[in-house]
Amino acid sequence: MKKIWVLMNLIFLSVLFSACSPISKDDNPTIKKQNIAISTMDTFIGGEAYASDETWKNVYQEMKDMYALYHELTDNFRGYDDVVGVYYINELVASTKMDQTVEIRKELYDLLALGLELEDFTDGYFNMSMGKIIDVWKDLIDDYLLPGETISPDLIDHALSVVDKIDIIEDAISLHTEDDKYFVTLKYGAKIDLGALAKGYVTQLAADLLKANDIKTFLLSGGGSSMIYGEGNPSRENGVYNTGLINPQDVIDNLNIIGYRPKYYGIYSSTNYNMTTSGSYNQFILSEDVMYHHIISPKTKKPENYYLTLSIVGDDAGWNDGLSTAMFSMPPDVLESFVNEHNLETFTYLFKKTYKAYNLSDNFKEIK
Amino acid sequence: MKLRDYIIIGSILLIVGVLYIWVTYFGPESGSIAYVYQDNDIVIEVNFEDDSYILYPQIGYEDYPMPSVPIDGEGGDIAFIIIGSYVHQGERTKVYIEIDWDRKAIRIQKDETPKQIGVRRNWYDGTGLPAISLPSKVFIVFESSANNEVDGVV
Repeated sequence: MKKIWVLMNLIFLSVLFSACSPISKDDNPTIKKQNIAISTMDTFIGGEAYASDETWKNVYQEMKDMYALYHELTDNFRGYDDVVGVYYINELVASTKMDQTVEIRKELYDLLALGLELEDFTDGYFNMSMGKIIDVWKDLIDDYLLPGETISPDLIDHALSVVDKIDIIEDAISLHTEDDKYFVTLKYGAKIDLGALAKGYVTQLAADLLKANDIKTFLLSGGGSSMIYGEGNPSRENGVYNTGLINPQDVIDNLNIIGYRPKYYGIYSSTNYNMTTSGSYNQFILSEDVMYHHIISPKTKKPENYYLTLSIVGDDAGWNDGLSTAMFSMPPDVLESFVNEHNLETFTYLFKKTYKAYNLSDNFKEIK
Repeated sequence: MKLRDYIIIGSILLIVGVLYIWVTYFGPESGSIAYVYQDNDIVIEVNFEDDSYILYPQIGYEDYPMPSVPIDGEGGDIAFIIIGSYVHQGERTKVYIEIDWDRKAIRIQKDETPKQIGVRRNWYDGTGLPAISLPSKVFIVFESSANNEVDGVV
């Protein structure tokens, strides 16, 4: 009877362990899935993380506070009481019609410093001081209700003539510190726009916050264009996280079908990585069969159509957010030498229903 | 060991095996729970496993989510009205949410936002592009399912 008892215990234990997910094998049994859903920065941050209730309560609140802070600092549409942010700086320069130097929080200083680094790294394809030009195109696109609407060439000509008169100011933003205080100087004529950088930057900070609290298993979706993953995904045996790369042509071809579920052209599988996509397919208007979208080239002051989407893999969502935006405006020959020089794993979805990958790893699987 | 022992062990293995298969293949799916958020708060929690839901009163609008009637013939089984963040003529506007038990999906059936992006997304079962109305700050989120091929899309 003793043998049977021992066998029963062995069977019970083996079943118990076989039912365990990668999360609970060697971790605290109080760890469970926690949902992330934050409405901020004019977008939605979603995701999940595995943590105990006790840990999560504090971490999640800190995460929400962080997004709220950066929302107020980087919002260029409205100001907030006692907040010296992008809106305040832009308004000050516009109203006084002269260069202004303003003391800012370290959080904004660090974000702007990253932007300046990106401007240098991309040889000016990233530019966070051409807000006036971006506003012209954004206003034009936002005036139309549905993606893909066709508009008169006269309206495009008008927008082109307006942006033609707006100069790209050289070295428009400069930073310095003094006595442990942080300052930004903005030149007259420039307008800061951090739309291509801020969301990814804060979402990376959110991921860093999770890791600092020993939360290793998580996924964060930063507004639909950026995914950050941890490790030990309990949904897959090997613990990887899979990212589907949306086929943008399929979206465009089926714009008329309400609720259409687009196909993927590839799936990327790995752990501890970020995938960021810049694309024109979900915010654009048409004129004479040319797409006009929200990603504006600092070189030409208008949207360029070399790619429908451009995705990059890396480990920093803030850097990748700005970088993918910059790369989207690079002509194919410039892009090719850039990605090869910096060894960037990059996917471009081209017109004519095909894609091109650079520095491809084994983590990518094409979907036919 | 005697024959009786073999029979007992065999029976135990059989029971455990059946239980394991049952739990693995017929147990609750992890993607069967969905949440409707307004701003940062869950306002409707939907369990597609037993076709049940929980309503959470909206702060400042305690009568909402308010039961409504789904559009006939479009699959919706139950409907609720919530108050979104989109302001029209000085007032926050209503957002109509429908739930379809059969296809385990939720949709924003109607709202007053200018571009109707959330409404055009139509039925959402947790796969593909997300169901979001940014002006209304309404987001539909499904618990991720192990059956999904991907964990995120960009």
